[in-house]
Amino acid sequence: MKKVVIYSTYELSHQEIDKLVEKIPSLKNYQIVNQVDKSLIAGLVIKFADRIIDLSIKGRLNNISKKLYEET
Amino acid sequence: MKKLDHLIEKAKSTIQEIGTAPIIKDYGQVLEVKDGVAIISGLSNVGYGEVVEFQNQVKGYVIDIDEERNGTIILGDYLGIKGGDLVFRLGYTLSVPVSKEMIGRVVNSLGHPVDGLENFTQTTNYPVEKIAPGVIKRKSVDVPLQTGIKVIDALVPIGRGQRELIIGDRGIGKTTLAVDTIINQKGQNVICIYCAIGQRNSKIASVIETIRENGAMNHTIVVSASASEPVSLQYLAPYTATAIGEYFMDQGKDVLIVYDDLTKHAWAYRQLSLILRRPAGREAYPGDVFYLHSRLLERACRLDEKYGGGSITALPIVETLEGDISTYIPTNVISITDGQIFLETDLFNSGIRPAVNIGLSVSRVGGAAQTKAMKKVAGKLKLDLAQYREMAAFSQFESELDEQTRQFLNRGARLTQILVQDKNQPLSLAHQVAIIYAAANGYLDKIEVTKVKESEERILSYLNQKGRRWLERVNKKNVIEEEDEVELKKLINEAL
Repeated sequence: MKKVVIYSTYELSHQEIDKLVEKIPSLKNYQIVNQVDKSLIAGLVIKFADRIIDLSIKGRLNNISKKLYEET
Repeated sequence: MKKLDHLIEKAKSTIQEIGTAPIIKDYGQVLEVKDGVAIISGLSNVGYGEVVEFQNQVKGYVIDIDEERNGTIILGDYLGIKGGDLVFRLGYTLSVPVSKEMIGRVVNSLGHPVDGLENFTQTTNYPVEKIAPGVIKRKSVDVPLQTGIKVIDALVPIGRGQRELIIGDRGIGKTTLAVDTIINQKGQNVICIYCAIGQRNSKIASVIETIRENGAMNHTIVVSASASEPVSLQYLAPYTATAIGEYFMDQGKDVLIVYDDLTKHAWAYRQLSLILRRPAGREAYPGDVFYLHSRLLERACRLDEKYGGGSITALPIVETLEGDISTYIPTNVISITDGQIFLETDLFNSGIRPAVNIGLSVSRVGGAAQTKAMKKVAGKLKLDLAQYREMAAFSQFESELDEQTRQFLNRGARLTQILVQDKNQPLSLAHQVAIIYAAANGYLDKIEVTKVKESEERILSYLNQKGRRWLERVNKKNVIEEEDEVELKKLINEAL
């Protein structure tokens, strides 16, 4: 079974992971590993083998800073 | 305060624009970093020529795809990239911002200004690599591109949309020739692009200074990838310059691009290819080094009026060693271009500047674009010079020569002298025609060879004072009619 790593700012409980699988059904086919990464500030990062879904505050802030930098 | 408010407003609108949609990206990881090249794993869906972004926001350009790993060239500083860094796919092929505001500016291979002035505000993106226009869209070259250099306009004329190679050893005026051509485009409605590849920064600075001093910066763009920049940027520079040129050509404008020089471009590509472990061929260049330059120079063209009627004229420069034009890169580029201007060290040292070797220089399509006025005077010049060269070789051993031969040699020596021209002093068509007319018709035969230059100056200054109307007329009509010829004869006689 392929692995998927979910990064979060605190260790997720089973209920929380189940909720997530409910929202993203494709996660069912993967073995879920949870890792803590405080630098995300808040939110989640879901990392597949070659695709990343960034739902964190850090990613969003990065995005804004990049846009602003490009435009000015 | 106003500026701050403006920035805050902008930030607010940007944040709103971005919204809360999740960010989904394909990613890979850096396996190896080498000089200007990174090997990455993952990114199985990436396409050739696509842009990727490293974790530290430096961009990369995919030029090698394998089953499990991809080779990318790093567009920028590669010292900050570490093994294991994430690489994201951006999903578009490499393009550069182009804009009207670029005129008069210095940009790098990525189209960003490097002259310390403000950024461009209104830009569109143009692809760096583009397939050249096909036969349907093209038209044969028929409008002249005046270089302002007598020997070139008379003997190896260049037309708009032509590709003419400038080839010769180091330090004998290749760049000068190209820069003079740029200077002469003042008021000719031609946008010039000077693309420096692998040059010393000091040389680029002095070229820009020369262009500026001669008031030619208002129609010129400089694309600079100096020797100190990563080879990846040196490799890209000519393609970027062409992309900028295509932007103007698509608006129906005429563009002149100088690639200075393609030898160093081939070196940059050789370095990248060797690092990517592509099989090395002759002189360690990869197998596709011909295609490297042919796809670049094919993009120079003259479009049919139906497709806007713009043009790109290319003046690639290639440096030889010891005047040897039979090495790999020179032969390649000679066969791609529509002719070459061959500069020679011996001529340069004997004071014939521009040191053009007339016998080896040709223009395969420019003849159709030569103005009628020039054609009229240059035909005779070409013939006389050819005969002079032949006879001069023979007569070195003969002490006694018949009258006719002596006269030929006499004329030839003077013709050679009038083709000498100081740098950064391009002449208008009418000026050139007048001087060549005078020499080819024997007005200078009685003057000593060393004083030909003086007489030339005398004729030019006399024309500038008394022959204004004649100059204007010929420059406007591009033809010499009978009455013009009569008047010219009179003017020359008066001047001498």
